[in-house]
Amino acid sequence: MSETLDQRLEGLLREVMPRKLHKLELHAPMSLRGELGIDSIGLMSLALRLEEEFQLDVIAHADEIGNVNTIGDVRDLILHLGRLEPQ
Amino acid sequence: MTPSRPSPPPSDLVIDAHTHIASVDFIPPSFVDGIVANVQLALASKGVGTAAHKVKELYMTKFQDPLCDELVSEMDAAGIDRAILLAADFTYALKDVRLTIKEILEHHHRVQKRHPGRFAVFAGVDPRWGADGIALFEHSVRDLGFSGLKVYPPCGFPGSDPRLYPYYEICAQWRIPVLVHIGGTCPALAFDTASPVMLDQAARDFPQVNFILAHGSVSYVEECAMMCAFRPNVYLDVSGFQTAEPSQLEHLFRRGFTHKIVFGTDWPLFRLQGRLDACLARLCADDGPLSGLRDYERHAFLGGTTDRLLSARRPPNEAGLAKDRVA
Repeated sequence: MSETLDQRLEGLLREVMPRKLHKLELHAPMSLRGELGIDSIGLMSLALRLEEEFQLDVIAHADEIGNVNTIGDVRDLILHLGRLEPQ
Repeated sequence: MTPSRPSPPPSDLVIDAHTHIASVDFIPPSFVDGIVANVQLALASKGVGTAAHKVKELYMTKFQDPLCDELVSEMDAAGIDRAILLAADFTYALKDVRLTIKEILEHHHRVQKRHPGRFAVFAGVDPRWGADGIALFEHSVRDLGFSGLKVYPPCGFPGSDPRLYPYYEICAQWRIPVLVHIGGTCPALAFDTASPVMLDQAARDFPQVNFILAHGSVSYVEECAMMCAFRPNVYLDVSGFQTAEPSQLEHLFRRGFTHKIVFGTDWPLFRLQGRLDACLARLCADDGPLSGLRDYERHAFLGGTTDRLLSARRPPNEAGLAKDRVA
């Protein structure tokens, strides 16, 4: 696990999290909807940003993306389906 | 001290009271385009400049299940026994519907037969189709075995429109419920007819008909709560709860009419947020919005109340209600 991936993922998550939660320290088991307070539009934004950042094909993998619950799930998804080279 | 229980206790069935067939044959392209336009605006506000066609393509991945095989598979995985399949009639208000309402209802009948015991179909018929529409609805209840009426006021008529009264009379005769869309929807349709208060006259005139306010936990919440708390024949389904904070549902459950609130998801509209099992798991989590309910209240919400509303269905001669027709 490269530190770069964690940092890039944290950046994407903070883009879609409510500002009032920005002081939270992020950990893999934290839930996107509950603990991070990301709403339905935020989740879609996250998916589309994952496509931009990691070339993760959101159309082909809509099922897998829709079923992520935690930060760790997103990380696993990137590792399995994305490309890690920065664009 | 033992808490008092309703009599009879609710069944353990889990019933999703609000689903649709995932296909543009039944949810027309202009309807999806309207949803996409609003989503695209919201995404842009978050700095995501995705093209509309991309967002629509993403949505369309989840609208490819015309026979409901995927829906049944998701229901199985989630432990959902049955679902109410709603056939809204957009054929009068939107001009890009490929099928006639008769063909739409016949297709719902085929889906019902394909998955025996899994679906109760509510037929929607726009009241502006006149006598033909009334006859079609009666046929769908009598001959196709449908279980209720779906009313979609954003198509341009309020829930108490007198043109709907012949439909409500049929519902009274058969003792079947009416599910009424409440609140905003696709921007191609009207919003000024979609308030729950506009249904109140009909709910008063047909006290023997049970009305379910769709999306009552997220649209016109205060008005829906008032109707449920004070009209004995008015209920609400929580479909659309996926867009709100879980605390909003918890708050609703603390208002004293849990016996009037029923589970529903609006599948396939929120499929991009995950499968039904994940949706139900979030609802039923130890710290989820149902955590404050007693066991019998949870059973009632998840399916017991809907089962009771559906089980009342009787042919008119058996129910002896034909003479109760409203003049």
